[in-house]
Amino acid sequence: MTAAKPRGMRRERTPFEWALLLVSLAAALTLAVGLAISAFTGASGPADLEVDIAMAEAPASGGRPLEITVTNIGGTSAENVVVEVTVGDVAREVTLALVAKGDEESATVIVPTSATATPHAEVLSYSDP
Amino acid sequence: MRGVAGGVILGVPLLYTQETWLHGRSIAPVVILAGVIATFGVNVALSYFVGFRPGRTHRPVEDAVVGMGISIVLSAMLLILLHRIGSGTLPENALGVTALTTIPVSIGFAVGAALAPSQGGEASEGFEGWRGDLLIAAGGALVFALNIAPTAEPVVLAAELDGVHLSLLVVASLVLPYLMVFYAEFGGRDQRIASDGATQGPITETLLAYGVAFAVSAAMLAMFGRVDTMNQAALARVVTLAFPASIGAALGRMLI
Repeated sequence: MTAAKPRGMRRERTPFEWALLLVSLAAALTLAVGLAISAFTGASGPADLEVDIAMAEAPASGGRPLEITVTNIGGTSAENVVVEVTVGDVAREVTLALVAKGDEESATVIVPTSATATPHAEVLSYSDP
Repeated sequence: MRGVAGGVILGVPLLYTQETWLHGRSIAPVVILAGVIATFGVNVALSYFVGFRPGRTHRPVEDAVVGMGISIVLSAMLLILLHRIGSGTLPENALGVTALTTIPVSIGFAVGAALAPSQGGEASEGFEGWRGDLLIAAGGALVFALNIAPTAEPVVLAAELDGVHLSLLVVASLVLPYLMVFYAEFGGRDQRIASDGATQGPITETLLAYGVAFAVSAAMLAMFGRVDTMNQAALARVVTLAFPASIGAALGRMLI
């Protein structure tokens, strides 16, 4: 017959342990309640992607850098977002791994300096996570 | 501190995983919440049988609450440090990434007391002196760095971290291992504090161990072609990888 493992001593909590417990309770409740609120009141529906295009501030070699910003105002995140940028006859594609709901992601494409027409960008495809 | 050490050891590899950042923002909050609740149940059981306090506890639920709570705070701090969440992050996304990272951190917290043998590992007598300390630190750093160096994460993180975040990362790479090795009340702590010699004071040993972790990180990044010249970008990558490597170095030193 084996003896039971020794159990820890039951003793009063120190002020530090009380403080730790209260901070921990607050953190755990904040996370749980926050996730619950997000689950039941957050935006719903499919991803809704808006694309903005602008001249990138950072210099680039080999052409004109254009910064693409994709904003997801829908209720679902979008994965593998393929964006096509056209400047006159020149076309470029860029893929963003994920644009979370309520978030925005940016990428830069380089077009030839000779492509001076007004740039245009549109989302070609995306998948649901 | 023992729980924090356990949480950091198990949580850092997941923290350096892009999929965690992505899925934390894309998985439905209700699914993440279910995962957190299930993890809390596991933590109650682990706190009863293992726990972060020495000996078994009479308050496993309370210990699990403390473990989860501190893990949430720790995860959020590390995510802010690595610039994965910030003022521009949607609260829902910040909560999702933090909750996902909290899961392994809290498990590490709950098994903190079991992560290092109480009397040091077997054959730990063979690692006496500062050479032994640094050798085992290099071994621990190598294990952690080798797991992360071939991935894209050090490059992605380094590109997005500014000077302030990188400086804070260096501070964290020194302070956390220092607290883990000399304050976490793991077995052999008294011998580690009492070690004498010019290189074996707690602060000197911590600095030397970070130097070892830094060198190992640079070597690993060079081996995988992530660093081929010494410039600002390369330095940022090494500093980024040296954080988990220094945690590995601390774990190695805790084992002897």
